[in-house]
Amino acid sequence: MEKRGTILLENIIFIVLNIIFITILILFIVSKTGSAAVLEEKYSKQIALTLDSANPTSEIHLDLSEARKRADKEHFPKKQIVTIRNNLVTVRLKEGAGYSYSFFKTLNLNYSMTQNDELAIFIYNEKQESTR
Amino acid sequence: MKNKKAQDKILSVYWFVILFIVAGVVVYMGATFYGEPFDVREAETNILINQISNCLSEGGKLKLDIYDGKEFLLNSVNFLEKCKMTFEVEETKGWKNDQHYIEISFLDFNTSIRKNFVKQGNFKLKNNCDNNQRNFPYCKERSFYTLDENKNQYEVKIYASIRKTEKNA
Repeated sequence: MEKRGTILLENIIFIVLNIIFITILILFIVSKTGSAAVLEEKYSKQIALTLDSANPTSEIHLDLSEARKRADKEHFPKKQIVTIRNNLVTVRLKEGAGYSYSFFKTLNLNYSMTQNDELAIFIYNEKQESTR
Repeated sequence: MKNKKAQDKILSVYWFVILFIVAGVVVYMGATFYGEPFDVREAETNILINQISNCLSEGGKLKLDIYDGKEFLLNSVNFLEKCKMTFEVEETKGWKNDQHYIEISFLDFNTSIRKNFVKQGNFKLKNNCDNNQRNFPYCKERSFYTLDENKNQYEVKIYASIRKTEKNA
């Protein structure tokens, strides 16, 4: 009877160790996919390409809820997540330089984060002036 | 019974060796995959060519500020201004606004004689093109057919090259 008890304990330890092992692996992959650096790159390139494709007098809405959640975790202010200056998009989800990507179109634009965690970009004609 | 237990122990050791190998591979693949930047140069090059063609032609006709019926008003000097573009890039990794290159050829449709040629950007990119190699500039050429005000037919070839290797490869 004592031997059987030992075998059972060994099996339990073996299974627990396996579960711990697999959990660590899953956590590693999850941490990599949702990391601030990956999201900063993804969003800055997405916004830059969207602006490259844009034409005057258009309004663009981009869902940034994932970025917002990440920024909240890092206690980073929502208003500073996206910066568009000249022809450079910078996305920051935590303190630091963030990730910047340039676009080639010359655009007069105005942008803001909405209550729904969307980035709203308004692109004007040349004659109209942006107000940011 | 003793042999059976010894075999079980050896099996569990092998099992952990296999687990460590699997974990190593998963960690390596994860780090490699997410450590690499997203390569958006193909999309960017296509968008650049599309925007240039939108700038040159509208409704199947060359725009009047590109060709007024007598001469081409577009040249290498005024291209960026006319098409509302800029090839300025972020100051990073030693970039000096030299990450783009474009060429536009206006060819007579019937004779294939070049009527106008416009180029802008870093011409050295053209010599280093290799779309199969990640560390080389991405290049593409596309063409379309259009008419001028006098119904003359043209083939317009647009060649675009984007480097930005450090941020995409």
